[in-house]
Amino acid sequence: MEQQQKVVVRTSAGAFESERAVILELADGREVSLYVDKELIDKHKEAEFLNVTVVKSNPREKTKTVLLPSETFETMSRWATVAQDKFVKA
Amino acid sequence: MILSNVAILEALNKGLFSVEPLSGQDPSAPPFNTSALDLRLGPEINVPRTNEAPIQLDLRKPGIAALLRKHCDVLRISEDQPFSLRPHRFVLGMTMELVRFPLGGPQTLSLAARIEGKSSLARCGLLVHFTAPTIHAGFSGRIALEMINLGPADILLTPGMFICQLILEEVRGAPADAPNQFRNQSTPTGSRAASRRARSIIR
Repeated sequence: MEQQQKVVVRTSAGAFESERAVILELADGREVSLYVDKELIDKHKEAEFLNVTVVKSNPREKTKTVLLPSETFETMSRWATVAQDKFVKA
Repeated sequence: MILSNVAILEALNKGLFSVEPLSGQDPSAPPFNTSALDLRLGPEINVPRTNEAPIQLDLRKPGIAALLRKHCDVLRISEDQPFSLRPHRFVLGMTMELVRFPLGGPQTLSLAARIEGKSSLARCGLLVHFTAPTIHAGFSGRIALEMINLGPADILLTPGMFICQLILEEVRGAPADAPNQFRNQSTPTGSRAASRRARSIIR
């Protein structure tokens, strides 16, 4: 399993020029938001991806547990479970 | 265990963490303190708006990050145009330095850190963080500073001023229990650009 992977996100202006505000969809459908450094965001055509550390793969649930670069506002946590079809290899 | 100035430099050279740009290489001179590394204020100040209708933050609802951004102004400051932080005003700043704390594996040490204020600035009434000083193992980015002036006088904030200090600590044990999953992290390299005067390095 690759530990560094990219997960699809939506972004907008961050609190500073060096960062972006990120919206990530969790496996349960909730959306969470966080600020991350710009260098952790990659763009490919219209899609944007956040670099995350995959901690655990849950094949039965078709999800992955990741460590986010910073806490989300909505969960106050860096751990997040995301549907596996939201990932591309880093 | 808190790292000394010498141990901090060793950790930087081993790639256990990185600071870019590092404003000096001599552990007996700034930015090093005996058991800390000073960081500088970056060139932007985020000022929450106070002249508009108050908003209520419901953290159960998505999009808080974008909402906060919508209700603030981001100002670029310089030596000639510093930001004057008035008493009891809250703003956000960011360190000039980009720090990275790679996650170690079972055989590799991880470092974490705490951000702390400077005693000189504290005497003037300036808080540079409150309630959230921890820089966790695995963090990568510039460090956000939550600043409040609790003193009676306005305080000028200029880019490049030593604004906070980083206290480095070893993380005991691997940060996650799955073996090998955090090995082979990319090794960061710190900038070797040295300058003894912090304000001479403004990007």
